[in-house]
Amino acid sequence: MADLKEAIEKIKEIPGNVRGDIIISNLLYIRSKKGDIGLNKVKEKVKELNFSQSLDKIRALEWYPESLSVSIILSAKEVFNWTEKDVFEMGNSSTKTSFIMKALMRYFISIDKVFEEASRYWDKYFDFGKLNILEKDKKNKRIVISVEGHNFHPDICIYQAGFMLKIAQLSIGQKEVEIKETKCFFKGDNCHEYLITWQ
Amino acid sequence: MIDQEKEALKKNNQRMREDLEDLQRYVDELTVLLPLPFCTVNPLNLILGVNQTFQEMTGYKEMEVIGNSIDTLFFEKKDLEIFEKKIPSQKQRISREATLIRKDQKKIPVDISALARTDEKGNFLGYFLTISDISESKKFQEKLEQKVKEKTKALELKTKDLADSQTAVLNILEDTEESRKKAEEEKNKTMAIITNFTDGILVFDKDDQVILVNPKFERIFGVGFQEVVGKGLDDFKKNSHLSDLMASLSKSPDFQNNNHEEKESFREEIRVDEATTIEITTVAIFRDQEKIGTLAVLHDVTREKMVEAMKSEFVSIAAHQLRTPLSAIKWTLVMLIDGDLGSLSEDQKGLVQKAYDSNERMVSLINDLLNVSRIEEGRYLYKPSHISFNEVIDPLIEVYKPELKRRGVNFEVKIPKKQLPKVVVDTEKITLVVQNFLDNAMKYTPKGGKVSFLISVKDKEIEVSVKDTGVGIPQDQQKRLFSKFFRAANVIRMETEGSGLGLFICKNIINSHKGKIWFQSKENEGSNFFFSLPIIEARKLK
Repeated sequence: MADLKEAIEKIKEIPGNVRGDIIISNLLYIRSKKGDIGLNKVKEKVKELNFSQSLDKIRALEWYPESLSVSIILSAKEVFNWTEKDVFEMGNSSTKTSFIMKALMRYFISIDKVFEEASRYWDKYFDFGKLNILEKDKKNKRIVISVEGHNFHPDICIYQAGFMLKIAQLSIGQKEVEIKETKCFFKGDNCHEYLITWQ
Repeated sequence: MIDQEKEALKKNNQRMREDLEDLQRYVDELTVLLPLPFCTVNPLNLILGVNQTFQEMTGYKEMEVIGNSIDTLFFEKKDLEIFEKKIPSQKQRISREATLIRKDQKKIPVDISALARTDEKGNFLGYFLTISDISESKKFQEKLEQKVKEKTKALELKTKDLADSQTAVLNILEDTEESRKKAEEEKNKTMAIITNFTDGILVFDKDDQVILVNPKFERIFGVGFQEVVGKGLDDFKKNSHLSDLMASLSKSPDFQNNNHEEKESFREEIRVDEATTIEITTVAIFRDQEKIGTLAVLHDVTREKMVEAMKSEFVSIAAHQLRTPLSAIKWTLVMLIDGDLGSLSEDQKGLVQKAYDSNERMVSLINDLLNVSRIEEGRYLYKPSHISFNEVIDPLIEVYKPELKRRGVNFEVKIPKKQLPKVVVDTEKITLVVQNFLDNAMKYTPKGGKVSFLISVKDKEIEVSVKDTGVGIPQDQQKRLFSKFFRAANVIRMETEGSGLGLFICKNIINSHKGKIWFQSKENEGSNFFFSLPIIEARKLK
């Protein structure tokens, strides 16, 4: 707990806001997995991390500190003793309940279209950082995406990978889509880089 | 100024966020409250969103189902692909039936409807899919189909039965038609025979109503069938043409008797008019022991009657003409025998005696012939007198006793000791009957035989019998014994005398006294002849 509190305190210092929609999606996911009791535990944990914002009053389109969103993910991981895989699953599932994502999904008519618009989607969720399509190779069925300026916590890289994978799955139309973080800020790279491949 | 613009922009953004949040709440409420299960599907047929009812119907939570292919929810995957391919090109909602596979693997028949979503440029963005549970209506439909199947099957069976019945009925009809034609032919034949029959025919039903007459009947009685058919015996009592006929028919036992038994046909003659005599014969008609009617055949015997009358007349005239010379011969022979014309030698006397006997037989024959003529002409008059039966019998017994003794035949007489009752008889005729019985017994009983004369008095009649131990009457000839000129074969062989008229005359005499006559006989053993007469009290006679 001491480590988490310490880490969060550092994270709080990083500027950047996120739409409440992401926070709501994460809370819904936690409730779907652990029920209201589990959710309350997470809420308690977040409170202990000195966030004054009530998690019951989050509004989907309002902006909130990204540190709050990150602290929810990390608290859940600690409370439920989740692995990285669980964090990945959380990111993957958040797209399913996200109001913004639902509104955007009408444009998920092809992989080209999705990734053409990818940077715009980023802006709808975050008021910091940047998402770029570095490579789009439909022939070899691979896409390389980079994320710059989103350096809060290594677990969030995993969460982001899960999130992006779901978008890829929905636009490619098959389950056999894989994502791999090929570069990471926390590993000394200047940005995060994800390779998406499919069958 | 820039700060003011920034502030205004911020406020504007805030309002837009609030509007969007209102819109989001509205969409959320709609999604939760909408009772129809629906989902949004992207062009790749992946589920992007579901409402609450959808989750309840499928059993899948939103988290579990989003991102899955819509096909995974349904049983008919290949058919669904065809359906999905149609959606982008349709501007209207399209529907089909499918089988939803719930999370618990329970299958539910559903109706799915899809409506394509497009952007402002008309690009296909996916579709909305609604799901309606039609299990109840499906069950109803299945029940209905089952019922229809059952009904159809029952109907098919009934149709088959009907077809079989129809075939059977047609076969029966064919057979019936054939039988009807045959019956018609038979009927026509019978009718032709009846129509052309030389005798009149009158047919009665079981209730003795006339159902058929033939043209000959109409000609005989001068009536049309319309006047006769449908009427009973009593209906003709006032009909002058038919009253005698019906009176005669009503005597026939065939009209009263409903039992099927062998018996002689009823026969009776009636005169229709001065020139026509018919003989009526009736016979009861039976089918399977049940009487169905009576047939009367009317045979015209006018010619036979005329010939018979002519014969009788001839016999009568001849007999009368013969009797006068025979009387002359008789008295001449008597004078010769008595010696009035001089004495005769024994041989001469014997010859004359034989001539006398022959003449007597001739006279007797002539008398018989005259009696028969009288009977047939209805002139055999009945002269009744109320006398004791002893007065008739006693003299006769005394005459026959010595003659039978002379012939060596035992003669036994059994007469009640007390006075016999009085009877109303024509003494001369009854004497003739008793004589005839005793003569026959005497003639046909050989020497050493026996003749018994018995009289018994019963309740209302007196019975006389003459029994002999003579030659008897052959069985096959007994029926004709009371016929005119009949003589049994065995007595003809004996060459005994006799005209064959005696018993015929006897029968007519006894019948005219309302008595009965009969006999029992066995060839070579003897015969027993009987007659009975009713005892009539004097007060009744008066």
